[in-house]
This record gives sequence, structure tokens and C-alpha cells, in this order.
Amino acid sequence: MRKSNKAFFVFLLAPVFVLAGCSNDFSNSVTSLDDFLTVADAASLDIQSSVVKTDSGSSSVGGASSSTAASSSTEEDKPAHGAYLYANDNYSISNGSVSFTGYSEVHGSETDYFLIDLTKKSGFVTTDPSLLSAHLNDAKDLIVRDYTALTGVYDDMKTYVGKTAADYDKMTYLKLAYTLAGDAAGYTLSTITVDADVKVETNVYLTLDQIGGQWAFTNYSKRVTTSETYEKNGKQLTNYTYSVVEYMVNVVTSLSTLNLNLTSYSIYIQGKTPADIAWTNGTPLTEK
Amino acid sequence: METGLVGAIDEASETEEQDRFLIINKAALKRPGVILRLLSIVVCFVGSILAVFLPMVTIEYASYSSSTTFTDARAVRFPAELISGWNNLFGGDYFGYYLKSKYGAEVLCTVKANFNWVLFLFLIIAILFAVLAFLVTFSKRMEKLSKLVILGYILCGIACVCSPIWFMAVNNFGNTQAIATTDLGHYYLFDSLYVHDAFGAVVSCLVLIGAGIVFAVGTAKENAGGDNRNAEQ
Repeated sequence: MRKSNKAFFVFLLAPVFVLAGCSNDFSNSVTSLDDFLTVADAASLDIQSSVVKTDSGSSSVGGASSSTAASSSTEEDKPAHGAYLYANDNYSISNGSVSFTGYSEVHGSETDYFLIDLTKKSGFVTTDPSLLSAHLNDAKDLIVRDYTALTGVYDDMKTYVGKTAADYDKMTYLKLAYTLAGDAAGYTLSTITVDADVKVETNVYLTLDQIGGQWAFTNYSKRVTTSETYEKNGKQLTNYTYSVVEYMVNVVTSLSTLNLNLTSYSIYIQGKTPADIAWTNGTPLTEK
Repeated sequence: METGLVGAIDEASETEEQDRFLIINKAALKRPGVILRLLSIVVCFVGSILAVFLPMVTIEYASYSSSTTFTDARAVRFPAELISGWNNLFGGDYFGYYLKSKYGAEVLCTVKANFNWVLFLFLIIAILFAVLAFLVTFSKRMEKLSKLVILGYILCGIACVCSPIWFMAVNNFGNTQAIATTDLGHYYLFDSLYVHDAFGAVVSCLVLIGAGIVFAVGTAKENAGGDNRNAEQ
């Protein structure tokens, strides 16, 4: 091809390449550890809340009857819980049978502390903050524990970098990809393993947000779907088992205040009898 | 008698001329109608090339209905994602979108785009119509298909502007999983997902429709006062 022809084709194709570059590619496969962002640890973040939800179920397809959402227990099940922190060390925690809200309110030079049992819809008010500290520490620990768990998930994803499905036993599919869009980032790990008639599909989604200049884990979802094919009465049946665990972490730049409505709660004064009808500052009990 | 025979021979010659397929001569290439029709072919190819290279699909998040559960803050944080025409058409590259579970987790997932056979088919059809436009231009007996060419160009243009629909369909995302939140297999919500045309879809659509208009004008010029191409020849 003559030089002038080449120049002509370059002249023609140049705008095409320019136009092609107008799109924005937020997503790509993870090819090296450099594709992983540096994420702040729990200690350097203001984490307002952490909520963990789980779900599981099973269904049968191919037979005359099917059932859905039957309870099942798998290794992916984790106890659902939630912990919320607010300004002035106010908090709310829900973990198993424990469900409390700790709340403080300042009256002049004195602070009143409320510990509300959300399950019993009752609570007490006191001037001793130490009576609320146990659950406050539990809430803080729970948040740190959840965030640390997500760090573990993130570190586990890094072990898949540069690997293919062939590197793992019985694995037929492996994909590790990420999206980095503005102040949000998401990592997706998908695997499929097949062992005889049992197929296990795992999808792990870990979402990060940049808050206050730091990347932090905010949302996580792991779904495991197990399908098992078997024969019964001459029919091919497939049993599906689903398992989901999800984390929702709310990272903020400053903790918000807790607005508490105790209208439907019964409150008593800790360490006081009905005879003690006034506080040391003279505030009548009826005004509390 | 002699005059009658000559007239019959002339008519036979004219009929034969009309039945001939693909007559290309220099005189025809000078007619404005033919030039416009050939120009429409070039415009059609330009439109198809733009559909392959320009961004065709935009993924955004917007609180556009009362049922939206996606937080405004998260919607604002996600910049408009422009899917390139190449990825929209042939797939193979990744793109991202949010999934919201019934429990509230908002996960940014990354998926690999699939081959968009619908748009590919329409672009092939556009090229076939360009070929048909060439045949119609130089074949008297195919003149009746000129309206079909115009319709085909416009149809392919509309197909380009419908790119987000094909993209969501072939990549299996959108509202398909938003219906049964009680079913663990279908419990993701897409309620704030806003997939719409990128500028490439609009441009390629307009260019293809433009090809149709150019061909229509060319046809009008060719047929002005009746089809006079034989007279000019």
C-alpha cells in the first residue's frame, strides 16, 4: 500500500477511534492485585450501622409437586443481627434475643440515660451511664466484627487473582471482575463447581464506597445455589437449595443523632421507688 | 403496415430494456436522483459504522417513581455509564450495574456483556437494504422496491434507537428479576435502574433515517414526472 493510501485510511479511521473512546469503561476483569483498592479499617471510619441478614430455602423442580422457601441450614447461614451507633454514644443493638436501645438526654447540667428493651417494650431511666455501657460495647464490637469479616472476604477474593477454574478442584467456572464508577466500586466473584450430580453456584458481591476520602466496605451479598439432580419414579428431579448472607454497613462522615419515640414504651426509674418522685435537680418525675 | 412493425419493434426493445437487471452506465451516474440514491448507501454504511463504535447505551440510576427504594445518595454517586457500541454489539467486555436485594443490600455487580444478536441482525439488514438500494437504482424492474428500501433504512434506524432494549434483553437484566421478591431465585430489584440511549444510538438512528430521506428524495427526482430514466438514456 502506498504511503498516501495509508495516510488516507488513517485519516478515515482516526475519527472512528476517537468516537470509540467516547464510552467510559468502569468495569473490567481483575487481572492483578493492583486492581484492588486500598480500604480503610474499621478504626479509621465512622460506621453508623452494620446489619446482617440471612435467608435460605429450597425448591424442587421437575416433579409433580414443589415446595419453596423451606427452612434449611447451611454453612452460609449466619445469625442475623444489627448494630447502630449514634452521636453522644446512643446506640441500638439487635442480636439474637438481645434487642436494646441506649439513649441519653441532657437536661441542664444533668444527663439522663435510657435503656430500652425493644423486645419487652419497656426500659428504665438512670443517671448512671455505666448501666448502658455493656450493650454499647457489644454494638461497637459487632460493627467491628462485621467489618472485619468483610475485610476477610476482600482478602479471600485476592487469592483468586491470576487463577482459572482449572486451578481448583471440580470448578468449572471462575470469574473475578470489578467496577469502579466514581465514588463506588464493586467486586464480583462467581464460581461454579460440579461434583457428580451436584452443582454449586456461588456469587459474591462486595461493594465499596468512598466516604471522606477513604474507601470502605458498605454492601455485601453472597448467594450460594446448590442444585442436585436425581431420579425418582422414572422422573428426573432437581432439588435447589438457596443460601444468602448479606451485610449492609453504613459508613458516614459524622454520626447522626438518635430520635427516639417512647410513646408505646413503659419506663421506670432505675434504683428509685415511687416515693422518690423528683430528681436531684428538682425536676418533677411527671415531666420526664 | 411498415410503420406498425417498427412501432412494435420499438415497444419490444423498451420492454426488454425495462426487464434488464442492473444496467450501469455513465449517463445514469450523472442524474441527481441516482447520485442521491448512491449517497444514501454511503450514509447507511456511515450510520451502521457509528452504531458499532459510538456509545449506544447509558446506565444510570434515578428516583423516578414513588416505588423507588434506591437511595438518592447512591443514585447520585453512580456516574452515567456509557456502553460502547462495540461492547453493546459484540459483548465480551464488562459492565456494571446495581442490584438491590429484598433485604436492602445495594451491590454493584460486574457482568460480561453478551453478543447482541438482535442489533447485529438489524445492522445486517441495514447493509442488505443498502445492497437493495444499489440494485433498485440500476434496475428498472426493481423500482417498485424503492419504498421498501426507505422503510428498511428507517426501520434499522429505529432499531438503533431501541438499543437499550436489546442490550437489556440479551444481557438478561432489567425488570426481569424484580417481580417475585419472595422467591430467593428472583429477589433482586432494579426499580431505580435507568437504562436509556447514549448519544450514539440517537446519532446512528438519525443517520440511518437520513439515509432513508436521501434515498426518498433521490427516488422522487428519478420519478419526477414519471420514470424518465429511459428517456435520458
